[in-house]
Amino acid sequence: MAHIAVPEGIPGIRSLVMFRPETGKHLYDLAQILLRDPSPLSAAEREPIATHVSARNDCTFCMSSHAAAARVLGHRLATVGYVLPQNPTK
Amino acid sequence: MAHIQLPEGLPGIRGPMAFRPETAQPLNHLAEVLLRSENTLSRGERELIATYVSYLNDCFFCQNAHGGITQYYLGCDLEQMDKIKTDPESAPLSDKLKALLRIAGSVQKGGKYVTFDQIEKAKSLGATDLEIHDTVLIAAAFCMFNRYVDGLGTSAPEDRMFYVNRGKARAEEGYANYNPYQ
Repeated sequence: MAHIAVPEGIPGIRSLVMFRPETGKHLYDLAQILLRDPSPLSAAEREPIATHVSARNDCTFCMSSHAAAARVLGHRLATVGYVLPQNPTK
Repeated sequence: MAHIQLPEGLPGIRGPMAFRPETAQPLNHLAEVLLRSENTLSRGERELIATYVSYLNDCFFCQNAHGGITQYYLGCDLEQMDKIKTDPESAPLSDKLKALLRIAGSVQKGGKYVTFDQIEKAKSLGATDLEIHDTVLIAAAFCMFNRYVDGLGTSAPEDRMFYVNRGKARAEEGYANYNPYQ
């Protein structure tokens, strides 16, 4: 259970964005620009950076959701595995 | 010298914001909502949370820039500000704010360091869910800002009065239409 009364059954950051859309909007805007808007790095190259940092921070939700995004963008399972922890706690 | 070629003569976060205005915009809008929009926590209390976390992250620019703004709101001098940063438990602050600062201090170590007991303590002292949410997000956001400023190797004036003297103007100007060149 979360520390505050966020909407039921909604995982991770989505529950927080729903709780406080005034801040959530800017967080999502930042993520859109950083991870998807035009850049010399492709979106497929940028998602693993987010995945890797989230893995190092031991944040299951962020690591898993960005790993999934990396795969959707064309990475094979094995490649994404390189940025994930070798012995995950969960 | 910064790790990348930034516009000349802009200290701290101003160089990176001038370099990449596209990302500066949501960062500044986030700061505006978190630190200045209508809230049951005062602007001074929120700037203090930002300053405290920046102090814990040892980010010279951020703790002094926001320290100067906090000083303006709270009406304290540099020596008092330093005492609050190094020993918030002994500072003349409300019990609720001290409980929120403990939560912010935990977030600085890592999100999972926030304990159920810290949350319950803050709630027992009157902290609302919104106040707790914003405390955690201010702390998390400033961990990001601190890493942004230091990660790119930016430099900043060493004279701490530079930031104190700018405190009032920065408090009044806000973040929404922030121009890093000024």
